[in-house]
Amino acid sequence: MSLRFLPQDMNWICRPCREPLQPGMVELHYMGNVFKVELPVCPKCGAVLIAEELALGRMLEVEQLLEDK
Amino acid sequence: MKPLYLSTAVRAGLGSALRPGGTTLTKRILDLAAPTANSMVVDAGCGSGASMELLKDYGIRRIVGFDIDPQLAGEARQKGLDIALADLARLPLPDSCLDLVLCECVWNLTDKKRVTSEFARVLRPGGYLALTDIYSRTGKTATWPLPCCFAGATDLATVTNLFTEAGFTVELLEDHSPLLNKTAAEFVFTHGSLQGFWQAVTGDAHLATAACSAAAASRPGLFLLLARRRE
Repeated sequence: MSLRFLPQDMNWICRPCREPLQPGMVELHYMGNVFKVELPVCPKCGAVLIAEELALGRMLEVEQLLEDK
Repeated sequence: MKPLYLSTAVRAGLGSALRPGGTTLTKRILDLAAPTANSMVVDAGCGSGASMELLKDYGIRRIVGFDIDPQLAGEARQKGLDIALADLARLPLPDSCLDLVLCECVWNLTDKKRVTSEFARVLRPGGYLALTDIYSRTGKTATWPLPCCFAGATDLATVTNLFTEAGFTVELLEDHSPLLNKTAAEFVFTHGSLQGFWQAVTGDAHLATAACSAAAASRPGLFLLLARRRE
């Protein structure tokens, strides 16, 4: 499974590195499960931007499923 | 409406095995039942043949698949597998001819009592039946808005009673619900939510809500059962 979660504008800068974020493949690990998704990534330090909508929407529901809630 | 397993959303999400966890539980079955190269094996509800390919990779030579769906059976046949269209309640086989029957995430879609008796008929005494399917973790049966394995799910006591009454000894019963949860999580990533997944399957927001309500009432889980035909 590979999914893209990129903002409409990729106009985001990694503040410590002053590098523009670029689309990159990221592995999200939770409770022994791995999900491969495409997210904005800092090419220098590897920091990943997860939008609030994604964190409080899909990711929250996924966490609850994996926690069997 | 198409059965759940034939919907585009499910086929795209589950791949060729068409069940939670892919062939993970098939490998577990092979470890438990330990068929040999000469074992006579049937995959009951073989779909497009993912398990049969795995069994052939394990060196099992004599394996036949039965499925009721012409499209899936055709896909399996194109892989060079031995496939026949058949109702699992009326297998075109003589009595006591099989060493192992696999039935993975299919049983709930059938007339379970008749199919279980048919498995008992075609297995030799001592032969293994390996079954995986959905069960209701609350014990409640819910009304689902489309034909699916969830709709036929019961509690595990009902499952084991059916096999015991049909002439089997249940040797092992395992819960593998985390595999089902992982699959649901993948659907959530793909479709935004479980509601979004069911809407993609049914094409209707009200039916999607009904499916979510049914899931909340029954809390579906996944089990593996290994049973032996009594002597």
